[in-house]
Amino acid sequence: MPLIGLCDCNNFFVSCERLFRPDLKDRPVIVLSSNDGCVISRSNEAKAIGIPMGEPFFKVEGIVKAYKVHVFSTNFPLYEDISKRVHAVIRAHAPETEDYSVDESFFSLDIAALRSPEAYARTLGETIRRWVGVPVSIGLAPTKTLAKLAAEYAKKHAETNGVHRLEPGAELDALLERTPVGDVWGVGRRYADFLNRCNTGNARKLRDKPDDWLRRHLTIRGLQTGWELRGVSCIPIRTTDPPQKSIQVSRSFGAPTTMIEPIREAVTTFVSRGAEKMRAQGMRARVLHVYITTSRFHPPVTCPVGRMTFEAPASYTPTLVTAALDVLDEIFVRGEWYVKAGIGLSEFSEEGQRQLFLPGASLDPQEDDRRTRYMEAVDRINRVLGQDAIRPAAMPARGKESGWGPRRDHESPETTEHSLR
Amino acid sequence: MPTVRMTRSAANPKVQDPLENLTDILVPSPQATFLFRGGEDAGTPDGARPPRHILVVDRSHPVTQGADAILERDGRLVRGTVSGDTEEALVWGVITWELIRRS
Repeated sequence: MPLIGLCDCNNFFVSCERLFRPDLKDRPVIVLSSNDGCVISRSNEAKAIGIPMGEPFFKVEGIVKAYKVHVFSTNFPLYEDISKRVHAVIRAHAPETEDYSVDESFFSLDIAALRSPEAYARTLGETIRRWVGVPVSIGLAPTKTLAKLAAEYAKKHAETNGVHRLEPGAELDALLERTPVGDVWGVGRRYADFLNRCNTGNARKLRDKPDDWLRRHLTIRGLQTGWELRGVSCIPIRTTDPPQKSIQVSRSFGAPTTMIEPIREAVTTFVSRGAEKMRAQGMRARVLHVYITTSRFHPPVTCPVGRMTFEAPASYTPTLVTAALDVLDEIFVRGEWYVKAGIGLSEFSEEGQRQLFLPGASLDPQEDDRRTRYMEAVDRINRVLGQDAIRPAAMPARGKESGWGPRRDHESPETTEHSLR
Repeated sequence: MPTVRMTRSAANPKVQDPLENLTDILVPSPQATFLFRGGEDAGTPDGARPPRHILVVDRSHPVTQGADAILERDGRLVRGTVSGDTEEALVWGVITWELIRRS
């Protein structure tokens, strides 16, 4: 079962301020918003004496004096510096990360970490505390929504040592029952009020609502939340590696070919891979390149390139594959020996950031939504079941390529289960 | 005079930018590295003369006995040497470099 981690810095702004002030270690400390308006971060000691979050400063001035609370004005450049360091440590230790906010990162766990997720998370937390100097809480769960609840639990329960894991079962049921519905990730104030009126005041009741009810009253996002609370991951990690300007996929063939069919297979495969990578970054491409290269043993070497520009940026694999195969038909010359093919996707724009187009040039929004959700489902299935579980029909299974595939004469089995002979 | 065509070979070792080179040497783990100004010659209290020393402190560096380090002492951060009875929790970070301005 895949696990998602959420690393959340405790009382982040206060912890940043304390880094260079060891004298404030066990003292009540608060940080104020710009212009010293409201309380935006509190140490545990400040929480214990009853300073509320978000309270205007003038309302707590009395208590601040009485308890000698140390007050800081915001120092965003410092918090940003520390935030970048925390994100960077997590990025260096996890295969995929999403910098969700200044003090939170989602991350996935690699195979080695899954042997003992709690121990791995504890080491990660200790590394951040030691290297960067701020304390963190880490939640582990099958979904982002549950990982948020797990991290919150770890933060509030010292006996967890900053790491808590949630899996479906009796313990989770009890925790969800204790959790007000408004504390669930993705449930806004308005929906929380509505749910309270519908006798759905806690997270367990929300989870157990029927799908059609959730979809009808809370839209598709509410349905996703319901599923995520059940332990079914619907909201994937959006990797926040530095956004790429373009994506290239190319490969030399295992053997030269004069036929178009194997090259069609190769191009289809490359487009599918590139499109998946692009969608993981939440991007769509306006431009698609396809190129093929002839053998240097049959001079003159040529490398024809074709290009397709989309009216509306595309990330839908079937659209991209169709376009790529059209381009290939144009640049392919019968009789040449081809040894390599490649594709490029470029001129990205962000998914969901819809632009206005001339009528007829783009899809109607409903169809566009359907295609987006369809690709999300395909990508998710492939992530869980393994690459290429669902793929374009023209794309061969791994190892079944018609001649263009890489040589794999010395490949070890793809499974770690070895059978004794 | 014949023209000499220049070409780049993939086998050429990467020519390193001296700036990158220097930061790689001084700051091998940037997430864990902090700069401190000070040392024995920390400048005048009113800041009229800038401090001549910069300390590079690497919190990921293992703490060993005898290491030059930033220590927490009486709620303050001070420069000191890690000794046998220094609590590891009180070692803020190990000083890996000290940069001294010469002119």
